[in-house]
Amino acid sequence: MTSPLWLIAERELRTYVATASFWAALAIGPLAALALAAFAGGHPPVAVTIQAAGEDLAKSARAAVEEAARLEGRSLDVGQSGSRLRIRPLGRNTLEISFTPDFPLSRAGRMLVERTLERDAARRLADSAPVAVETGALAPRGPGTAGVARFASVCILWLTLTGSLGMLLQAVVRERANRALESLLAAARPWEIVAGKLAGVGAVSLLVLAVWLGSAAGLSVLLPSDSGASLILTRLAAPAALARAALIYLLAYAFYGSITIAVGALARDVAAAQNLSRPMFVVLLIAFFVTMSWTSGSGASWLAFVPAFTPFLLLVSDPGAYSPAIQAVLLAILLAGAMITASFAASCLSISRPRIGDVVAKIFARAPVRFKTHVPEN
Amino acid sequence: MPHSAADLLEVTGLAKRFSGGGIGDVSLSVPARSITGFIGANGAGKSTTLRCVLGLIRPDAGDIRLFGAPADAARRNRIGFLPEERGLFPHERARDAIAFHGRLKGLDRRDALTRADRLLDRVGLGSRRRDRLESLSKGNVQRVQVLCALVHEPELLLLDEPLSGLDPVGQAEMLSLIAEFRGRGGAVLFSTHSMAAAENICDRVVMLSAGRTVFEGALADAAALAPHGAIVVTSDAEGLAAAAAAVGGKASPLGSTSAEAMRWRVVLPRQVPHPALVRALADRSVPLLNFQPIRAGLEGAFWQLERSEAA
Repeated sequence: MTSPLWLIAERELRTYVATASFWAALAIGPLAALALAAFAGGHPPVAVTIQAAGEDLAKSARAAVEEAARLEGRSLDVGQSGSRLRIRPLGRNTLEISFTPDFPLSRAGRMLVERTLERDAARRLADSAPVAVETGALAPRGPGTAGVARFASVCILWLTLTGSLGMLLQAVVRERANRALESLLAAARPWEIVAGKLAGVGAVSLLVLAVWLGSAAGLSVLLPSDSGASLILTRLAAPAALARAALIYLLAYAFYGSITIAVGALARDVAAAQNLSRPMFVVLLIAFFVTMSWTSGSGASWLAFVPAFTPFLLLVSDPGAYSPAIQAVLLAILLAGAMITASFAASCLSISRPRIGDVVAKIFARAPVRFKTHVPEN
Repeated sequence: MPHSAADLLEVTGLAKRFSGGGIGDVSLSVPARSITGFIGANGAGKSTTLRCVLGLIRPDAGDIRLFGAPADAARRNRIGFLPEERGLFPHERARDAIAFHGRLKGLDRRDALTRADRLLDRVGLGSRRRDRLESLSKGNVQRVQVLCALVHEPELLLLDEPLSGLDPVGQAEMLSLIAEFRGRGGAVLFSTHSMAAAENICDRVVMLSAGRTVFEGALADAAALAPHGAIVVTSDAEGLAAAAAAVGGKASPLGSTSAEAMRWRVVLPRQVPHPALVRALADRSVPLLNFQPIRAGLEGAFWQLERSEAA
């Protein structure tokens, strides 16, 4: 016999998977990746020709053009045909550089070619010794790829959460409004329904997320290994980071998902549910902006101990920002928050559920919550 | 009311109070192989009683026994329940919806699907087992709903307003399903507003008024409670009252205040025939828009019991 929890989860999953809109949403990720790949790698090399007086100048011009093309993501075939670049010396200190209008470089690319040729010509005139270049490492001025990867994981959490919470809200309100919950409650305990809905809708989100991330990973294979996007994806896919993010995602989803189920159970219909859920989405938005402020180093560290903010701030913070012990405490706080909200959601789901007025009154009275029974009219 | 050992469901002195209503003293029984109609006005407490029986609400007082023993989760699993408002997922396939409810009640997947197919065949929906519910007619969805309640082969079926929202054909099909279930040895308790349906199919009725049981017994006994009289539609309230009094009867307004009432219920002594009232009305030139003798049936009994309870 399968537990009602898994039956409910399976049913939620099947319900969403059965819709055409789900498959459309699922396909957006791979299609976008395909389009990007086609855009990035689908162009054949463009033939260009370089006319320069002197071998040195020709070599220098070719290197400059190829560098500018690489920076612009273009592929050029330098030969004897195609769009033309002509470089002519006009006296000792002057070079005339002309591009045909169809030369496949942007205005910035052409300027880069001009500056490079100017530099090389000046160097030749000064007969200076070649400059030796050594590669060093400087701390990035911005967040760097690691920071971008962490911020990307926050964005993914935020987007996944808001999408899943919408689905959860709909799933609960629908059954509350048409009283299908009564059939479920006759066979399953409220906590099984809460867990089943969380698991079912969570699985739907996970599926979409996996396909989207898989598409991004596939795209990264097509990108140069030293490109920023590829480095970010590599950091996101690091096993330790992935496991940590997965745990944080899970707890965040359980926390916010339980609140959503409670809101759905307290609402009479979709309109009421949307109104009731607004404060939660405002909190989510605030959490997102707080996270953004953290990336610029102006966040308040105590906020991480507030469960609504914990997942975002844990994800965005530098691994060294919190000791392992503090991180464990933060995850424990989030887990406790998820368990409390799940228990509240289960109590809201039962037919003898609290009324919104009772909940508000109890909150302001600061008294132990003892709900009045509200039974829908016959 | 004494209950027999063969009662599958026995409810005694059930009470549940909540803001704005509840039930005060509900007692009823459902014998094996019987169909018991559960009748009452809106808000009388029918759904609350059913929810208490199913364990969805904990009663303040009273006793619920199922299959001869105090109600518990295992015994409640032997009940099939059809809620008043149906909540199947429109994207779900018919057989999946039925199998889901069977699995919730403890059937394994294969068994649940086999039973779902068998039930769909039985009601003529076998060829549509893989159709999504959104593509079925309302009547067919309703049938699937009942099959959801039947899939685990319950011994007792609780139906909350199973006829609501159905056209006459759908209602007839639903009543056939209920009768068929009883024919296979099951017992049914179904709440309904339709007196005609209850008269068609029930062996017994339980009537609720303002959260209390006001009648429980055989259908014929209930019908005998119906008063002798007529429903009269007239604009002359005073003339009607005088005519009714003249033949020993009493007129009371239906569903409105006396000052504005057009529709009246006139109760006559059993020995006074209807034509006597018509004559008395004609003698006083009371304009008659409609005159309908009260039939000795459930509807009359229901009104009688409601009125006595209100008094």
